[in-house]
Amino acid sequence: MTDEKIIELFWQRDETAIGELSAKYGNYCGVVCGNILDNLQDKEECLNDTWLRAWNSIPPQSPKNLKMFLAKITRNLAIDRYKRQKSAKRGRGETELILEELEECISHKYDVEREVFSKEIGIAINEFLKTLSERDRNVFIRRYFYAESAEKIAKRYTLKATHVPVILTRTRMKLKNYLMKGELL
Amino acid sequence: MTKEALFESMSAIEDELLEKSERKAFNWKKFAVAAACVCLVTAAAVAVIPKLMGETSVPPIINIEDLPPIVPTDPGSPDTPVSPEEPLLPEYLFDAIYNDADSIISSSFLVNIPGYFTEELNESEIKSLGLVFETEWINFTGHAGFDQDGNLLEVRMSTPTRVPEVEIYVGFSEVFPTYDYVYSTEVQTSTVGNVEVSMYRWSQEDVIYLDARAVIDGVNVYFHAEATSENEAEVKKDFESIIYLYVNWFDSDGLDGIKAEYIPEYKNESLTLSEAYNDADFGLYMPKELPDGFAEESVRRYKNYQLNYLSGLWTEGYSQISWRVSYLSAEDESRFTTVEAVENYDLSLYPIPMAESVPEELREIVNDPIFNIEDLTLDVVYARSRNMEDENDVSGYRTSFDVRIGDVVIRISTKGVSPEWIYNSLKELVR
Repeated sequence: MTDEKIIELFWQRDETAIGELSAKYGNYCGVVCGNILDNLQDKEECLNDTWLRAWNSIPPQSPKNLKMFLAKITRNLAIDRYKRQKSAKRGRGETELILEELEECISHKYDVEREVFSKEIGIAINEFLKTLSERDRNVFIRRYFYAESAEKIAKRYTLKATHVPVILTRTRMKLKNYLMKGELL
Repeated sequence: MTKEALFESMSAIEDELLEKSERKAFNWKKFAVAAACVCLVTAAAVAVIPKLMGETSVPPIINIEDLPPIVPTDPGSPDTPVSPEEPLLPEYLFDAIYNDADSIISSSFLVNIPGYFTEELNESEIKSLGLVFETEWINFTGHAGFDQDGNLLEVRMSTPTRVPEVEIYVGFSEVFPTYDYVYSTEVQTSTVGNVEVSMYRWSQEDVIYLDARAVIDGVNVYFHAEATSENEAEVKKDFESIIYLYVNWFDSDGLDGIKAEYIPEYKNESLTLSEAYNDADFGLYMPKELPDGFAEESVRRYKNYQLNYLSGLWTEGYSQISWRVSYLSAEDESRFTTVEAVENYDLSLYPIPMAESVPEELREIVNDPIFNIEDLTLDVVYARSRNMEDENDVSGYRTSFDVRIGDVVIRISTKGVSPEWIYNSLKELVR
């Protein structure tokens, strides 16, 4: 079924929309949350939350790009669950590694005057990404949005596995400079 | 800023950038090679500029006389209908090469173009595209899509096949708006006459998607069908037949004659609630006050060829109020209920999952009942509310229903909001 038709079902409050959504994007969203959560039960619950969140959001929203709309919902819900896992001292894996990497991009001096809203950071990240080559941008997105492993990214873009961490390190440094220049750090 | 906050901020990455990252670089190079092949073939005859772009008229690229024979054997007279008794469609028309895709990426739809609207194609418009075959099964119907200035953007048509409940879709547009396919192998094209056709096959669960794309007579044409493992072979026969017929008989001049009869009004405005009150159609029906703490996410006035509404969304944490006002339509009639007919709306009668507890014949009305405002009571609002405990979300009432006031319908959907607020807000509108 087309995305257009699925959205129409949501607008009609037809519950078959959830079944269609799950059939079409279950695997995709499963990968998105599976990259962040390593517990199968958490992953399944995250997917169920995703369908419910979509049900509660459409209408009034009418996403132009349903797949990316779902990717963002799934990611946010997975991060929420990850935080709960972390506070309960369970779970580690890829996400912890990603956070360690991102630590290089942030300032360790906490300055309340420089604390900015995540919205501003979001805008800056998009601007920054547009300054990168398509390859470097894609590698960065697969790692820090989709939380994919370096091996998987290398396979996706036919790069050498050792090349991905090099690209990521260089891009993180560029991001740090970019954020500092914009006085966002 | 913490590393966690930075990680979360990545959710703001724009959809377009995310979607680009979905593509495998290697495969897209291959795809580009295949696309370039198509261009080279067509360029050999003439510089290809899709006619839908409204630029220079392009002579046909297909030399019909060079094509393999097809029954009837008079391809120079496409106006001659074919008798159903004649063996119109041989089983093996050309060597169809289906490229098995690893996955697909939905591409954007023209329907998201501001002011997009459609009109049904009439019989003469369909015939003007060169499709005059009268067979037992080919019977095209379809619509044309236009932008808000009435410029033709696309034509989409479909025909039944010889396989029950399976249809073949054919479209013409500036872009190929179906799917982008992702491959791990090189894409091969199929040759139909002088035209290279890229054919794709992708399966998910029990659905097999068949797609094909080609530049025919200077226009982008795409084909789409869905099959199952049981009927795939039969569907492919008809799918390939339709491709073959289009390559031979499609007449792009017919597109020039497809004009919009009427350009519908288009509005898509972001408003504040104060501005929304001034809307001539629906302003009177927006909530007068919101519960404490709720912030405005969006208030939108939307009108196109299908929809006409004023909506608002307000949130406080995970709590939300969605409020949508539109005109009553004939389609709403089946959802009206009296307060006495509790089986039509009382959620306490139907435990979750509702798909199992609500009888099929009541599903539509139980999902979205409409009450007359005069009949609405606080008890009815409670009957439409479920009080949920959810550790991952806001706890409290989830409520949804529609209310009719005169010739408008208000659709309410809330989470974490008291039934009293909903009841009072609606009654306030008619005081």
